[in-house]
Amino acid sequence: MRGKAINKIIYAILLLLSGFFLFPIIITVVNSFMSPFEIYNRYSSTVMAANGFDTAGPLHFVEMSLIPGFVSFKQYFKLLFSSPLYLGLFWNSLKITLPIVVGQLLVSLPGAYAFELSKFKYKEALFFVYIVVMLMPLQVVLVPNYIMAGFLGIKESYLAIILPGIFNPFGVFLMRQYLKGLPKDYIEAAKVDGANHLQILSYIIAPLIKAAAAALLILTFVEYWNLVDQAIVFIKEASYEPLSAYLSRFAESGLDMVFAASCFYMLPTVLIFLFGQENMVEGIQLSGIK
Amino acid sequence: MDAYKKLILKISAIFVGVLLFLTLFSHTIYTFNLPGVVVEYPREGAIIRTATGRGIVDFVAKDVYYADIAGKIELLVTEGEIVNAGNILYNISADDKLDADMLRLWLERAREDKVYAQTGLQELRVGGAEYDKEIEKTRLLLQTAQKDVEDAIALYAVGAIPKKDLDDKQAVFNNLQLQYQQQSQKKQNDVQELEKKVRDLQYQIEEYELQLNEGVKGKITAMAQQSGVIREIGANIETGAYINQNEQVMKIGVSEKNFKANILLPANVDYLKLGDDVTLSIRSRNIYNIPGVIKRLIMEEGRLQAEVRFAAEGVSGGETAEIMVHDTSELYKAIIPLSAVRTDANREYILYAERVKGSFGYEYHTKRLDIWVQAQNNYTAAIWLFSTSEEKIAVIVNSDKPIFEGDRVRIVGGSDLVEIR
Repeated sequence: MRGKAINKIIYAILLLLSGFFLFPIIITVVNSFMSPFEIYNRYSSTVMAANGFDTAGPLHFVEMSLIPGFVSFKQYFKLLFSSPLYLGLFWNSLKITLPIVVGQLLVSLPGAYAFELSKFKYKEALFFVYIVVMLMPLQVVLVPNYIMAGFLGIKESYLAIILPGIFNPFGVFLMRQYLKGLPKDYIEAAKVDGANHLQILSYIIAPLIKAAAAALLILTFVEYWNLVDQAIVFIKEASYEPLSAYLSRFAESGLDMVFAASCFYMLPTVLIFLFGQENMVEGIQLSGIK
Repeated sequence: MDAYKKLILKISAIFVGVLLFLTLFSHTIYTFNLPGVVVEYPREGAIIRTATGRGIVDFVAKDVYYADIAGKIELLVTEGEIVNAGNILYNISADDKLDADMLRLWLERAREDKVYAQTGLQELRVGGAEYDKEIEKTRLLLQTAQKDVEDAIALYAVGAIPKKDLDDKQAVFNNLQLQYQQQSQKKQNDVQELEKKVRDLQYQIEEYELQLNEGVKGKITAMAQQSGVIREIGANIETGAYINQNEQVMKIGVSEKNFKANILLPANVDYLKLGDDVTLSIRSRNIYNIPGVIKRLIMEEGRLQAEVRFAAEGVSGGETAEIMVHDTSELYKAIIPLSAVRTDANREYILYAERVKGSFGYEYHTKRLDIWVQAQNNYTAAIWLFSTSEEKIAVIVNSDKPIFEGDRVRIVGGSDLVEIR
C-alpha cells in the first residue's frame, strides 16, 4: 500500500515535470493557431486600445492562453504559400543536416570498430584525446575551425559546417560504448571462418548495431538541425543560411508568423524521433551514456 | 517494420512531398501576387506646354457720353450703328433757356483740364523719373528674389528645406517678375491715356464753342468725337424721354482697328510675357489666326488674366475670342512621365526598380531617389536627379498596387525593356 502510494506520488511529480518540459511546445503549437490580432493583444508590451484596460501604467503584461479565442490558419497559409524564402531555407537546413548524419554513420562505425576491436599502440591515449575534444564547448573549437576552413578555402560554404560535423567524435564514442556490450564470440567465430575486418564490420557488426545507429542518427539530426553558431560564422549570404539562423529574424514578419514557423520547423525532428524512438532508447541504454 | 513505423514513414514522405511542391510553387504564387510595375528610363527632351483661354472681345477705346443738361432727349443713332467723327448723336432740349454763362464756365473748365493734361503729358514724355525709380526698385527686388530662388534650390537639393519653402520663393519671384513687366508698361499706358484725355477734352471744347456760337436756346447737341460703333445706349433712354443732368447716355466703341480681349488662363501659364505674340480665333465670325499682342497680365483669384490687343475687320465687340499658347522649354537631361513623380510631406521623389540577386534568382526591389521638378506640363516632367551615379535607372511609372520604398515588385512593362531582364 505504502509502495503504491509512493509510486503514485512519484508519477505525479514526473507528470508535473513532464508538463514543465512540454509547456513551451504546447504554447507554441496552440499560439500558432491564434489570429494575429489575438497574438498582438496577448503578447505586445505596449498599450493598445484593445488591451488598455489590463495595464498598470504604460506597460501591458503578457497574457498567455492555452485556448485560442479564435482559431486561425491564416499564418500557416501565409507561411506555406507566401513565404518562398522560408521554404527555401528549410531545404538549406536539410542540405546541411543530411550529409552530416549520413557521414557520421559512415565514419563513426569504422572508427568505433577500430577503437574497440583492434589492438594498436596508444589506442587508449588516442581515444582519450577524442573524448577531450568531444567535451570541449563548441565556441572553443569554432575559431580553429574557422582558421582551418580558411586554409582549405571552404570558409563560406556548407563544407565548413559539414566536414567538422561528419568527423564529430561523439559518434565514435557512442558506437564504441555500444560495441563494448556486444558479445565478442560472433567476431571470433567470423575470424575463424576467415572473414576480414570489412566483412566482419558489414555482415556481423552492422546488423547488430541498429539501435546505436538510430540513436546516433536522431541525436546528430537534432544537434545539426538546430545549429546556429556555425551558420552565423561561416555563412554570409542570406539565401544560403539554414532555417535555424533565419528564425531569429523571422519575428520581423510578425509574432503570429513566428509561432507557425516554429511549429513547422519542429516537424522533421518530431517525425524522426517518432520513427526511431524505440531504437534510440535502446541505443542510449546499451551504450551506457545515460 | 511494424505498422506504426510504416505510418510514420508515410507521414514523413507526405511531408517531404508537400514541402517540395510548396517550395516549387510558392515562389510562383508569391511572385504572381507582387505588385506589377511599368518602368521607363528618363530621356532627354524639352517640355512643351500648351494652354487655352477665352475672353470677350471689346474695344480698346470707348467714349462715354453723359448728359450735360437735364431735358428731353432726341436720339439720332441706334445701338450697333457705325458713326464717324462729327456725326450728331443726340439733342437734349432743356426746359429753361440754356445759361450762356454756364456754357462759358464749362468751356473754361475744359480748357483748363486740357492744359493740365497736356502739361502732365509733356512731363511724362520728357521725365517720368518717379516711374523709373519704381521700376528700378522692383528690378533690385527681382534680383534679390532670383538669388533667393537659386539658394533655395541648392538647399532643397540637400534636403535642408521642404518643397513648400522652395515653391514660396518661386512664387515671390514670379510675382515680382510680373510686377516688373507691368511697371515697365505703365509709363507707356499712362502716356496713351493722357493723349486720349487731351483729345477728348479738345472735342468737348469744340462742342461748347459751337454751342456758344450758335446760341441754340436751351438745346445741347452732342457729336461723335471719334469714329466708332454705338456700343451701348443707356437703359430707358429713347427719343422723347426725360434725362437728368450727368446721366450716362451712350458709349461709343472706338474701332480705329484696335480691339482687346481679356483672356482667362490657368495660373500655371507662367511662360507668357508682356509683348508676346499670340494668335486668336473668333469662331462666331469665322475669323481664325488673328495675330495679337499681350498688353497686360494680371493674376486674379488664382487665374491669369491676359489682355490681348489685336486688329481685325468685321468685329463689333462682344464676341468670344479664344487663344492657344505654346511654350517649348530648353532641353532637359531627364524627362519622365508625370505619373512617376511622387510627393511626401517635404519633397518630391521617384521610385525606381533595382535588380538584386535573391534566393530564387534576380529580383526587383523599389528604391527611392529624391528629385527636383524643374518644369512640367500635364503629362511629363523634367527632373533633376539628386544622384551622382551615371547609371540609367528604371523609373517606376505605374503600378497596379500601392508600392513603397523597399517593396519587391515585378516588371510588367515599359518603354525600354532591353536592359530589364
